[in-house]
Formats: sequence, C-alpha cells, structure tokens
Amino acid sequence: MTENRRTEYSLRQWITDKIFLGMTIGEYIKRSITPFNIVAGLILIAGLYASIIRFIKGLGPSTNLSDTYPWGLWIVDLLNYVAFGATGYTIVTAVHLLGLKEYRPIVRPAILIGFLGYLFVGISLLYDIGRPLRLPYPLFVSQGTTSVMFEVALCVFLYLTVLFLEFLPAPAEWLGLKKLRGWLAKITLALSVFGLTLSTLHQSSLGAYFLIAPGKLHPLWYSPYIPVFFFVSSVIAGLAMIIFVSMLSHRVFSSQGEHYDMAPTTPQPPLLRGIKRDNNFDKLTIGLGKAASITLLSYFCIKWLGVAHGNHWGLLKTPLGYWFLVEVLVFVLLPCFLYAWGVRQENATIVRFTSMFTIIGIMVNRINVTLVAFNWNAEVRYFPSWMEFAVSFTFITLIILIFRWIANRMAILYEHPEYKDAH
Amino acid sequence: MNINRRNFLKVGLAGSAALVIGGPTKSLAAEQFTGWPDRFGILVDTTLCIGCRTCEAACNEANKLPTPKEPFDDYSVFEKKRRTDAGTYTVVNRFANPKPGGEPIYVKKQCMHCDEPACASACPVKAFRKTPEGAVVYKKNLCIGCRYCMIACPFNIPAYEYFNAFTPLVRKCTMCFDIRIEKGKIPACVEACPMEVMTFGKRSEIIKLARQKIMAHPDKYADQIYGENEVGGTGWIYLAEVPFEHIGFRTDLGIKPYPELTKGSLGMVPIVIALWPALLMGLYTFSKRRSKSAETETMDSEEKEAKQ
Amino acid sequence: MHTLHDFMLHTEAIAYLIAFGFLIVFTTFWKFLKKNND
Repeated sequence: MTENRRTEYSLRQWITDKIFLGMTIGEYIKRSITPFNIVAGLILIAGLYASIIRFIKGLGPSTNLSDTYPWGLWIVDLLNYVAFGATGYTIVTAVHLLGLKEYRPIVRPAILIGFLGYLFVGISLLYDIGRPLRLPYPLFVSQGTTSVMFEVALCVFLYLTVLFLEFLPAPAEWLGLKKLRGWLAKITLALSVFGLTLSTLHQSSLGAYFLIAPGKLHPLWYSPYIPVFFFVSSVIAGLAMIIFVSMLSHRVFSSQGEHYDMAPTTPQPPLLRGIKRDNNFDKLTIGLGKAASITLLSYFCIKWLGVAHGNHWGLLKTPLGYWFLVEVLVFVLLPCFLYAWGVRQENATIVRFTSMFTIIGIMVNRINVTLVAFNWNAEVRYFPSWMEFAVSFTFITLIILIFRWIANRMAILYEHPEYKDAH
Repeated sequence: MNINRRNFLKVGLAGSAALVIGGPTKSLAAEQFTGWPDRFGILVDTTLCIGCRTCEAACNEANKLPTPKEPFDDYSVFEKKRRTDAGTYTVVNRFANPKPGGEPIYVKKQCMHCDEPACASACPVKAFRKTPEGAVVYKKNLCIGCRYCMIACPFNIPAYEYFNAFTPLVRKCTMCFDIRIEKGKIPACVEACPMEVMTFGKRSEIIKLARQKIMAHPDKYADQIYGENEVGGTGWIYLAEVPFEHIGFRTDLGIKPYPELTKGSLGMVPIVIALWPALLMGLYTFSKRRSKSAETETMDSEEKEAKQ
Repeated sequence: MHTLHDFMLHTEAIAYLIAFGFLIVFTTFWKFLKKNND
C-alpha cells in the first residue's frame, strides 16, 4: 500500500512531509530559530573556520600538537566516541543475544548513537591524520599487520558497516522500502554476533595502543591489562550513555512517547524529578543501572589487579598516585554505589544523575591515559588550541543535530506502525 | 691498538661477503631472532666528543635540511637540552660530568636504528623497515600521518612536519641509507667528525670493539655498553665515562624488543574472531530455549487453569 | 626471517585471513546444521 501512496505524492509533497515535517519552508525556518539552534550555529561557524585553517594551513597552525605530544584532543575525542558508541553493542547484545526483550524500545536510539559516534570517529581521523586522503591505506594499500592501529582500522571499518546496517531499518521504514526492511530483519542475528565480536576487539585495542609505550605511560595506568580495562569501561560508558540519552529524548521527544507502549501512565514528569515506580521507562532505566553498577564494581576490582600485577603500591603516595585514587574512588567506586542505591530505592532519577557523572568519569579516564599519564614526566605539557576545541564541539553539536533530525522523522524513539512485527 | 672506522668498514664488508656465501641454515623452530647478520652499526665513544657540532652540520648538508636559526658554531644551544625535530635529524647535548672536576660530556642523539624498531611495529602501513644493512628507513609514499610511530619510539626520535599543510612527513635520521650506504660510503656524520668519535662497521664487530675499549681502559669508561641489549638491541652503540643515566639516557627501557609488547594482545584478535561467533550463538540458543520453555510453561499453566 | 617484526607481519597476516575465512565457513556451517536439525 505504501508504494501506491508514494506514486500519488508529488515530489514537492514528499519533501514537505518527509523533510520539513509537514510545514512550509517559512514555517520550518521560523520554528528552527531556537536558543539551542543559535548556540549550535555559532559553534558550527567556529568549527568551520577551524576546519578551513586545519585543511589549508595544516596541523601546526590549527593545533597545539608537538613532537612531544603527537596525540591530543582529537585523539581523546576519538577514544570517547568509541567508548560512548558502545551503546550500540551493549543494548543489541542484551536484546538480540540475551533475549532481554523488554529493552527493545531503546535498541534503535542505542544503535543510532553508536552509528553517529563511529561515523565521527572516521571524521575525526580525517582531521587528525596528516594525510587524510590516505585514510584507506592501512586496509587497502599496505597492511601493517603488526600494528594495533591496523587492527583498530580494520575492526572500526567493519563495525561501522555493521552499525550502518543495524541503523538502516529506520530509514528503510521511513522511505517505505519494504523489501530492504525484510532483508535487514533476516540478518539481525548475524549483525549482532559480528557487532559484539568486533566491539570486543576494537574497544580493547584502543587501550592496546599504549602497550607499545611502557616508558611513556605512568605505571599506575600502564598494564598488560589495559585492553581489558578499556573493554570493560566501554560497557560502562555505553550503559551510562544510553540512560542519559534516553532521559533527554524522553523529555525532548515526549510527543513521540504516545506511539509506543513505553508511554508513561503518569503525566510526563519534568527532567530529574522522582517518579512513580510503575513507569515502564523507569523500569528500563533501573535495570540498566543495575548492569552498570555490577560492571563498575568489576572494573574497580580489575584496576587494582593491574596495580598488584605491577607491584606499584608505593606509587599511590605520589601526586599522580593521588590522582589515580581520585579516578578509581570518585569516578568508579562512587558511581557504582550511587547506581546500587538508585536500584535499591527503585529511583530512576538517582540512576540518571549517576549516569551523567559516570560519563564524565569515562572521559576523565580517557584523558588520563592519553594526556595525563602519557608523558607524565615530560617537561612540557600540552593543552589544546581554541581551534581544536572548536572542531571538538562542532562534532558533538553535529551528532546532536543529526540525531535530532533523524529522530524527528524516523521511527527511532517509537515503533513504526506499519512494521510492528518486522523484528 | 689503532683502530679507525675506515679499517673497520673494510674488514666488515669483507666479513659480510664471506658470511653471505656460506652461512648456516636457520632453524625456525627456535623463536630466536638474531637479526640481519651483516647489519651495520655505529659505535659512539662519548669520551672523545668535544661538542663541535660538525656532525650536525654535515647531516644538515648531506640531507639538504633547512638552515637552522642558530648556526652550527653557536654553542649557546648547549644551555638547553634539545631533541630532534622536522628539520634536525641529530643533535648534540651537553651534560655536566658527575665526577668532581670532570669535563662536560657531549652526547650525540639520533635515531637508534633499533634491531626491532618500535616505529616499524607500530606503523599501520608498514612505512618503516629495518633493512638488511641495518638502517631503519621510512617510505614517504605510504605514510598516512597518524604519528603512532612517535608515540611508540622509546627514544622520542621521529618528528613531524606539522607546518607542511598538504604533504607532511615523519622525519628522522636515515643512517644516510640511500644517499651514502647504498653507494658504498659511510654516513655523513661519521665521516665528518674531526675527533673520530664514531666508528662505523658491522654491529657484531663494533660491539666487540666496545668491549675491547672497556677492557683496555677500565678507568676511562663506565662498564656499560648502551644499545647492546636495550629494547632488544640498537644499531647505535654508546660508551661513556659515567653511568648512562647521568647523561640523558633512559636506563629503564628493559631488553624486551618492542614488537613483543603487543604480540599477546594482537595474538588474541584472530582467536576472538574465531571463537566469539560460536560462543555467542550458543548464548543466543540458550536464551531462546529458556524463553521458549518459559512461554510453554505459562501456556501449560493457563491451559490447566482454563480446564479447571 | 631475521627479525621478530618480519615474522609477526607474516604470521599476523595469515592469522587474520584464517580468522575471517573461518567466519564465512562458520556461517555456512551453522545454516547447514539449522536445516537438518531444527
């Protein structure tokens, strides 16, 4: 039936409906002038300028990178996108491999976050590497198979493809491509297995990058277990991020909640206010919080295994030792307990707040490994240039804007009425 | 004993020829990598160096590097410790002699041309290669500019052309591989040094030379040959009057070759690719059976209730 | 093979190929098992 409807549409009608959400261009533009959009626009302008400098003048004029600090803010961004992109494989695994069907409502947003995150990993790389046009070289020209970076390139490339295929059902439904949608449903299981396999590999390999620099990474962070640390913390990052984003989407896209049996039975509560326990959405949040709490506790333990393995107990008394304690006690153990408290009290608000805190904690860890523990004994220190920040914020802004554009038009936060049983 | 680097070069080349013609077969069962057997090395006797920076000038000229801000006879540069950069393949640094009344010690720093280079191991496009001659060379037509080699190098040698907008390269000492060694000559710095601080020859021979020097003059040299075993062995070997930690060398790098550091982690990758599908399909089947049996249980109990 | 680096370039490349080749074999094998033994 959708095909008939499409042929009846003129192109103009289609554009008005699909792109401009049923409004005229004038109305659409008027509706778009919001404070958020203005700030976003300013960020994008700064980012555009920084991008022009980066590509016309090179990395020297646009960044504060140096021979002592070859990796800076954009590499940290990359590590964060990959860590928070773990929303994809964690929720897909939960729903499609572990059979936890109650989490189905958040599979699509989780995949979209992952897809956009990994897409911007690729874009960040185009900015960061000295010869962006040669990005395909490790895979297609000269394979440096001894290199962790080769393996990351291979796995990220394949995983981005997986994420794209996992995301594709949404636009397929939006465009009424039933056959494509059917085929995609058939390969869901294969994609889930492949996705988790690839994620295990590249999440840990991002930590493995630093295995080759034992002399440069502070002993409290350098460990043969770094790959395990990065993988486990990616699970934490993914869980925290999906809790956080679904909290935001639930508020921002509240009108869409009516399409789904995820709609609250009580009136839509304001952000961060405590809510009644029989709300389905809160149940999911608390469930995810439980998983996050357990993972954080495990992560706490293995971090100490790393210290024990290297026998670095004495280093805890040094300034960087104290900072290590802050990272592990404040940003790992504390959120573990906060999540646990939220789960016990069946209070989704506590879980949501803890997620925001955990997100900061993951970023702190990635910054610690890349910029604080790395070259910790160097005389010079690195701080990003304003242009590096501009590009960084531009990418985040673009991810948010693209997520919003897609969520406003496609069945991400609700189930498309014509494809209810297509899973 | 009067050994100069030119004699050594002759002896070294003659010896290499002999080995190539009648060498022993390698047993691959033993995972001992002894490296290219005839690779060259350079012995740096820091007790002879006077800090004249002629080597720096020779390197600059031979490799057509940009003219630096301070000329090569400006010795105020010694007030700070310098490192290599995109236009400088080698630097000489001055260190205070910890021995009372001792003369300052000058140390030439450049790519160590490791036997198992970390840069080559880290490079995702195989842009670095340890040649049979011993030089670690860089292929500029492959480099993508990821700068992972700079992260990996324990000696902080590779430098980047951050101010080259379209064709930035990684820059480091090449042991004058294509400009001299391939033409049968010795590196520019080695030849130019007026004090004959450096001796170029087969690595195995210059290690022996280093040992002989220590044995012959135990008061002149600290009993350490830097580079013999560090990070699996390097092509540039150093002798000094004092322990190396006093003159800017890292002595905590260990003897493990750097490729070994990632061997375990990389080795797990194909294992995970091979095993995860079976593991995860097993998990999937298990969880499906559980939910199916839970469904049939509820259906059975509903039927029972309906019957009653 | 004179250096560990050359050795690893060789061994890792083969290992990757075997592993990815196996994925194809595994998928086919799984499908085959499913058909005859639902």
